[in-house]
Amino acid sequence: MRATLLALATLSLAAQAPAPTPTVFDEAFFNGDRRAILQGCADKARSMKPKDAKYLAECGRAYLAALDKPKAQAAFKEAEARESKDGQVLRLIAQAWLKHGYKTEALEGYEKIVARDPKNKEALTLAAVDLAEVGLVNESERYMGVLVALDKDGWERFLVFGRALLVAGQRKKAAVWFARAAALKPNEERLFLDISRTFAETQSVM
Amino acid sequence: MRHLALCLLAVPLFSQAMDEATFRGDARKVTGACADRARLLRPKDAKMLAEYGRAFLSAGERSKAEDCFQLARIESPKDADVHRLIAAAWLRAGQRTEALRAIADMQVADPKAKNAFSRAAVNLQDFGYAKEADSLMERAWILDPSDWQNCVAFGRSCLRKSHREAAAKWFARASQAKPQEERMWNAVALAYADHGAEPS
Repeated sequence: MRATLLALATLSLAAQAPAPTPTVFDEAFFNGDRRAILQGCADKARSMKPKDAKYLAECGRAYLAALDKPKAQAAFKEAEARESKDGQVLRLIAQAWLKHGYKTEALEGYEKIVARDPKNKEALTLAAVDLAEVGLVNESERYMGVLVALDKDGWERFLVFGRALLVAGQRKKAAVWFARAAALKPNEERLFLDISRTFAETQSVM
Repeated sequence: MRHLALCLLAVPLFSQAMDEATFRGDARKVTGACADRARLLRPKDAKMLAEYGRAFLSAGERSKAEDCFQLARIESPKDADVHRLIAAAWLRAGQRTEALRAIADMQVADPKAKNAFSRAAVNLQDFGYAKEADSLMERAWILDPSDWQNCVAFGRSCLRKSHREAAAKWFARASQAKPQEERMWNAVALAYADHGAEPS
């Protein structure tokens, strides 16, 4: 009787446990269960002991997508421990939370960029773009405010942010940033080409 | 004389400030106006010329677009990516015949341009030409079976269009090409995480 109960308990535990990492990554595997693919690929990447904290953060995102929050948190923690003041790593972690619906964790993550790597223009811009893309416009503009205080002539970043706003359907707000970029670089062909391309690509959603 | 005429034509455009109100206006007009403005500045690069053409096509100005494409082809006849950009512009405009012609031109111009082939395959996939996309990607893969990045990029585009079986084929090839590459495993995982959406 005890043996039967033990066997049943073991079976039940095995059913809850994540699938083991497969040994063969063939077409059948990649055509199979999405969660198992995510888990399998992330396990494989992790087993190679990534040297770069950015890859660890990406690994964490794959675990989040596979609904394995503990493994995701472990990967993020290790990435952050390795590069606690790298705005790019902090942004990747925050973006992972944001993309998978954890708004509070995401916003906390983005705040770490301002606190620990406040002069990282690239990370600040990407934070603003990420937030604009999911419709958190006020939050995104706050990061652009921090960026403008650092670099008031950064027309390329204004352009990128304007694009994100336009894609998010915020035409009026996008116009402000496009105009700002155009005023800074009225003779830059790439600027007008980029704006033109952005409008062309988003016409269907307007 | 032609140069003077061009300068005179450009004056009214340059004198128009592109302010907030302009960018809030009709999207199609903004597209065309920006392309006009960009082109008047310094049309020096074939890829840029192809991009102008694309903007003009989007603005509904086909003859201006064709002029740009022609200039781009003259400027860099052997650059496969220029032909690909032209093809992508036609695809976006829904012009299948012109697009496939540009894809054929691309393969003649530089038969070994695996990266351009792979990008063009993604373009074809995105616009619903799965069969043509796959055969072009096969060609890119034959040129370099070890290029896992191209396989992942194409696999991503297959996922975007819900072609799971095709995606599986290309991800399996990527994993066989570089099984000890952590970036490859991450890239495949993130492709599934994003359901194939373009990486941001």
